[in-house]
Formats: sequence, structure tokens, C-alpha cells
Amino acid sequence: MSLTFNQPGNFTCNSCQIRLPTADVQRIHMKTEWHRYNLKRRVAGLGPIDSVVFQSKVALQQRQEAINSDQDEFGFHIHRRHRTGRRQPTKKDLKRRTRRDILANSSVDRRAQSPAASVVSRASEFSLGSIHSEAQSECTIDDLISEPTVSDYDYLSPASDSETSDSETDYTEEEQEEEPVVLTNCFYCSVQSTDEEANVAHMFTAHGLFIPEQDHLADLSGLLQYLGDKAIIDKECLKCRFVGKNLVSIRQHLQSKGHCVIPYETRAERQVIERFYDFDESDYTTVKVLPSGIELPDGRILGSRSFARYYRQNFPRRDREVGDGERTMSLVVKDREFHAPSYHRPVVEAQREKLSLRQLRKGNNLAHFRDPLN
Amino acid sequence: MELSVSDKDKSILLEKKNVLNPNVLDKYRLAGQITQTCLAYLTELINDSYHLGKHEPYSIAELCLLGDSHMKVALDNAYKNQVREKGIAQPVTIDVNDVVVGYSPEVDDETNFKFKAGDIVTINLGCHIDGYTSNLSHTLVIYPPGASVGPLLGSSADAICASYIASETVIALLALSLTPEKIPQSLADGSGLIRGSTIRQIVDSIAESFNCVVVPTSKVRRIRRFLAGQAEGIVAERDFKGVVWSEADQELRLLKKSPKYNGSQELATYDKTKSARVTASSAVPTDDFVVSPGEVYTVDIKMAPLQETEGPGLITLQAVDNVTGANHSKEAFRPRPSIFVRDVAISHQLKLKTSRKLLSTVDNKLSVYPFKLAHLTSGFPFDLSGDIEQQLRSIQQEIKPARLGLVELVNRHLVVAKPILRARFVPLQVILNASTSTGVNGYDAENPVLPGLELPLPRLGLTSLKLKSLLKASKEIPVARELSTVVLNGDNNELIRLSGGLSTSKPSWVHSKFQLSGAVAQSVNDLVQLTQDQRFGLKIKECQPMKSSN
Repeated sequence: MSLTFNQPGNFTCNSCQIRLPTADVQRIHMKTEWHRYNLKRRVAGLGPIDSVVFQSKVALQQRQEAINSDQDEFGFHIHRRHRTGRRQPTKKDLKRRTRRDILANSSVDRRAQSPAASVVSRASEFSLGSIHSEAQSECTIDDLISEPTVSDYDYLSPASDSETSDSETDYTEEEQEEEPVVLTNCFYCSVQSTDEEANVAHMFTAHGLFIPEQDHLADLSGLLQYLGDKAIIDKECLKCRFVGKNLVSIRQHLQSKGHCVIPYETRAERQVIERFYDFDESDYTTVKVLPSGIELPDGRILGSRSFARYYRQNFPRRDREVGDGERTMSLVVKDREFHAPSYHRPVVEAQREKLSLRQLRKGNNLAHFRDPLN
Repeated sequence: MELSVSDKDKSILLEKKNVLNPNVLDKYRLAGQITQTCLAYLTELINDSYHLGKHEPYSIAELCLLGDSHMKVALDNAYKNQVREKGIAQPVTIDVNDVVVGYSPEVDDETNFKFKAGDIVTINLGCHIDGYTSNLSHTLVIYPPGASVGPLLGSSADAICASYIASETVIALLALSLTPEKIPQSLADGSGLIRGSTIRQIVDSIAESFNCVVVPTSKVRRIRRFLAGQAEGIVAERDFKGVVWSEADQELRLLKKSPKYNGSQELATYDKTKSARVTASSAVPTDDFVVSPGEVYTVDIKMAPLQETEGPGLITLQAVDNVTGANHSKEAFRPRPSIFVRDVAISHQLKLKTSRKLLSTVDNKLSVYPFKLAHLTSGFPFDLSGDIEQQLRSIQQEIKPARLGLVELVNRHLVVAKPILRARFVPLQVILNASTSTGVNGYDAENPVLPGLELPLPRLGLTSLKLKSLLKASKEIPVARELSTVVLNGDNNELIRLSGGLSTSKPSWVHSKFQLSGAVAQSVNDLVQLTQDQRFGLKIKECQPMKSSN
């Protein structure tokens, strides 16, 4: 908007009563919620409002919504099943809980019961909702306003979820100090395993972490250390370079986006983790690259998938060599259609046929019904 | 699925491989020699048993198998590992009296029989080496045993005379095409060419002077490598070149005799060659061709006598099998078709294991020529010096499972049975009284014919289906047949007669009461003189049978 005021252009918006420098900006402006709001006001016979006023109205509305979430726009109560609220525990639940407690006491060591872990789990549970709502509001605001006004919004918006973020930062700070990179612990959910192999197995089954070329993997610990450093210390996603603010956010990202992977597609990606591998040169097969595909040493040709429709044609196979006799016969074979000799009927007969057809047609249009049998 | 053959291969297969170079001529000659030897062998067997009484006569099925076996042994020794395809091009068929073509019963066939005195017996066989085919037919007479016999008299004698003279005349005519300057005055039409119509005209005249009729399916046709007419009716062959006799020709002859239609153009002008579809390269045979050097022809003349028939009539063919007419026909002669030919244009996934096995055997071991089930058994070809009875029995056992598979092949049209045809005389009265309710569109798919000949009587508008139904009122009629294969070698201006000729196909002793008369007598006389003139006449060389080794 500052752009708008600094360089007033020839393009105007009548409903918002502003001038815009270029046609593109005007077009973008026409799609903003602010413009639509002003349009509605104009229809109602009201004057336009400023962008800043609009933002404050939006913020106010959102806060109102958060408070009145139990009521719909007309003030009626909305009945919702409380997912988070606990229902009254039944006898079955109690029994299950006691059994779980016994099991936990027997198997899990004391470290797992440390207050930190429980706090972390509660924090993550709690932050789930808050981060979600934040993302949502970000989305709507992005749609709502043009770029220059983002700063305005930043100034206004955090009021709604300041409480949650406060508590969240408290927990993460506490946790950040305590979570070291332990190779037997899952990097994505802190589940403890007995050894590295078990941890890899867990991360594969629970998070889908696939370690490529395991036959040639020389330094598993090094690879795990690298992954753990990236995830826990750098808080960076390998797949999309997203950097989380804290451990919870990066874990949230990795799990929800399914980015618990080691990228292994491009050459650069492979070079990053190459140092943990030991590829023996003698294992390589030399192939020839043809325009139609890749020729293997044994003569077979790997074709591209894009040609699959041509490869998959099902021609009948001739197992035997066809002799000259058969080929000669197939050369001289004419179509076997029956060629009736041209046979000209006398003209008189053709006329008679025509007449009888006419009579037949007449016979269908009798004025009175006559029983043909009597 | 049809095979795709490139244009380059097409020109090789159809043109280059048919050029008569010494190599090709050798193959033709050897094939001819094998057929000649086989005919000599069979003739000897028949003479020894039926005429001289040297041993117990063989039945027809046994003779057929012995002939096939003899041919196969000779073929196995020829061009060993040098040609990919060689084999029997026509299994031995032995057609007695009114059977025209195709009777070659398996050893377990119920109709199998031995000859009677007075039968006229046509032996028909053929073989090919690398597709170069030699076919052969010859009609013998079975005389009563004993030395004091005279010639065969009667109608069969007329037919034998007519077919022999006609085929020799046609061969002389074909030889004339190599040396057109020698065409005698009686045959000259000024063009110096031998045309299809010339051949038809002279054969028809000979038939007429012996009171005979040229039986439908008689033909003088050009053959090529692998295209010796073995699949006629199954596939229509492009570039067909030859004279073919059919019922339509007899119909025209009869109509011309009628005073009512004489001179009237309306019905007699039907000409299949005038149809728009018929071109020089079409599959429909026309007489409008010129015999040229470098070609190979088969001369297949079948004659039926009209001596014992009453009134005008038509000679047509009836296909007989073991099924048709089993309930109502009094006819006892119901042989099973035993010769099959693979239809290479059809492929089908078969259900039965035996039929799949049979098909692969047919495809791998045999070529595009007709075969018999006995050819696929392990005992074939059998040892001619060993115990023949024993070997025949073992073949009989082996045929049974193969026949099971064959049924599926036939039902799927992968192989087609070659029909067994009998000659029938249908009185014209019956034909004229018949009504054709199906019009001209009734088409007998069971017995396919050459393209263009689907309607047997085009002027009277009678379909083959209707004609079939009229066979009830017909009468059987004996047929004599002479078939030989000739090569017109343009390099030496000589005609090489691969099969037939005096060395093996000497006509039996018969006496006809007719003789050549009119203009045709003059032409035939001139031709005979030319063939007998060693110095200035026609050069005709015959393939001699091989000297028997045992």
C-alpha cells in the first residue's frame, strides 16, 4: 500500500478510492478481501475504509470467533463432540490403564519416566492445536492482503494466540537443553531402542526412513549421527530445507509432511551421504546407452517406461521358420469373397416388382378393416 | 494372420525363382523323374497282380500307400540337405470309373476295394522339389486275367481315346509356342501365337468327335513354384493363366444347339471374361492369354463319354463323403475324405493337445501341398522290401489318434479336406424343369471352385446348390484322365515333358468306334507329324523313369 501512495499511478479502484501504479497491481488488488469488503460497503451505500482499519476489523473478528466458537453466526449453540475432553472412565478403561502402568514399570527404565519426557509429550500435544491454528490464520491473511501490508498484520495478529506460543516456547527451551543426539533413540519421536539396528528398524517401520544401498553401507553410525545432527541440532529438514524454530516444530514438520527420508535422487544429494558408503568399483556393470534405451552386457535392452505402450504390444509369435511355400501362397492369395457374376435381370421383371411394391403399400392403407381370413 | 512379405521377396519368390535356369530345370527334371518312376512302379504292381497273377492283388488303399512310400523314399534321397522343402505334391489317388479325383482311402477306410475287370483306373500323383512340381495322371484299363484278351470296347474306350489324343495334342500345341514358325496351315490364325482359345477349341473338337464331354475341372494351366494348383478353391490365385472347363461351357454348347436360342444374343452372350472384375492379373481364369516360352504347364484333360446316356444333358461333379446322404441315399460308396491341405491364411489357438501336435507337425514337416494322415505316422515311408502287411497294420493303429486331432483342424478350417468328386450326368430336361428359388445368389461354400466359376450355369441361372439337389436324378458316368506337366524351355526351344509320355503312360489297349473327323482331324494329323519329325519337327523330350535299384 505504501507503494500505492508513493507512486500514485493511473489505475484506480473506485470502491476503495485508491490509485494503483500498474495494471497488474490493480488486478491483484481486485482479488483482495479488503477490496471485496469495500465493494459490499459501496453497495450498502457506505464509504470505503482504509486498509489498516480493515485489518483491525479482521483481527477483531477473529478474536470474537475464538471466543464465540460454540455459537454460530446467528448466535445459536453449536454442539460439538469434545475430542480433547475426557469422558468418564469406565471400568474397562481403568483396567486397561492399570495393566499399561504395570507394563511400563516393568520394561521401561527410569530415564523414560523422567519429567522432561512427559513434559515434552504434553507440550507437543498442546502445541499441535496452536500451530495448526496459526498456520490457518497465516493462510487467510496471505490471501487477504497484498504484500506490503504484511508488516501491519504482524503487528496486529499475535494477540490471538500469544498465550499458547508463550507456553510453547517455555517447554521447547527446556527441552532443547536436554535432548542430545543419541543414536539408539529415534530422531523423530524419541522412542528408545536397544541398539542402532533396532532404531533403524523402528524409524523404517514407524516413519518410513529408508536407508538406500544398505549392501554398500560402510558407516551406519556415521550416517545416523549425520541424520540426528541434522534433525535435532540443526533442526533442518533434508528433503525441503525447512528449518524448524525448535525441536517440536521440526519433528512436527518431518512427521506431518512425511519428510523422514534421506533424499537420494540427484547426484548432489547422493554426494552428501557418499562418505558413509563404500562402493566397490568391480561391482559396476558397463552398459551402453542407446537412443532407444540402455543395453545390458548380456544383450538385453532396458527400455524407457515412456515407450511401454509400444513394448507391450502382443504380437502372435511364430515359433517356426516360414518356408518359401507358405510365403508364396500368402503372396498370391486374393480375398476370398464370393464374386457373384453380374446377372442382369430383364427390364420387364423389374417393372413388375415395382408395381407389386406399390400395391403392397396401398394394401396397408385400407379404409375399412377387412378380415383377410374370411 | 496373414504373412507379410516384402516387395523384394515378392519379386524373388514370384519372378526370379520361376526363371528356368539349369538349376531350376534340374529340380523340375528330377521331380518329373520321381513321378515317372512311381507311376511305373504302380503300373507294374497292378499288372503283376491283376493281369499276370504273380501275387495277391493289393487293395486301393494299399496301392496308394505303397506309391506314396515309393515316392517319399526317392525324394528323401534327392537333394539331401540342399533344399528346405521337398515332398509329395499330390498323394497317390486311384480313381476308378466314375470317380474323377481325390479317392485315396486310408488303410482303415470301409469303402476300400479291389479292381474288377473292365474298370478304368486313373492313377494320379505328384511331387515337388523346392516347390518345383511335377504332377501326373494316367488312366489304365483292368483286363480280365489271362493272356487271351482283346481291347476294351464301349464308352470308356471313347473317353480314354479322347483324353489321350487331346492331351497329346495340347502338349504339341504348347511345344508349337516355342517355334511359332512351324505352326501348320490348319492351325494358323495369322497371329503366330498359341492362345488359350486355340487350346479350348481343339480340345472341344476332339471331345466332340469322340462323342465325349470335357469334364469340369479339366484345365490347361500355367504353374509356378509352389503354385501348382494344389489349393485351388481354397485360395484364389492371382495371375491365374489357363483354360478351365466348367459346366458353363457345356451349357453354352447345349444352348447353341437349341433352335430357339440359336442366333439370339440374349442368353448366349453371357461371358465371364467381360465382367469388369476380370483383368489380366485377376484370379478369374480367362481364355484370353498367350502361351509364352519359359513357362511350365500342366495339361489335365478329363473326358466323359456320352455313349450310354439318353438325350442331351450335362456332366457335373458330385462331392462324396462319409456323412452326406447317409440316411436317405441308396448309394453305398461313401468314402471319407483323406487328403487334406493346410490353409496357410488361417491361424487359430487349438484346444486339443493332439490337434496342436498335429498342426505343428503339418506346419513343420510338410509344405503347402496336400497330405494324408498316413504321411505323418512314424512308419512312413515304409520299407518296401520288409513285411508290408505288418507295416500297414502299424500305420492303421497310428492313424486313429491323429484323426481325433484332425477333426478340430478341419472344424477350424486350418486344414481343408480335398473333396472326392464323382462324375454325374444330369439330363437337360431335369435342369430345365428346376426352379431356382434362391436366385443366383446361392453359393455352395462346401465345395469351393475357382473364382468366377461360382455359378455353374450362368445362362440358365442355376446355382451350384440347386445343381447339387438335381444330382438325385443323375446317372454315374466313367471318366478318363490324362495329366502331364511340361516345361517350355525357351533357351533350347524344346519342350521337356516331366511326366507322362510313351515311357510310362502308354495308353491301354482300347478300341473306340469313333475317330477324328472334320477340320480337327487335319490339325491333329499335322501336329502328330510335327512331333514325329526328328529333324524339322517339334523338340519334345521326355523324362525317363529311374532304373529300379532292387
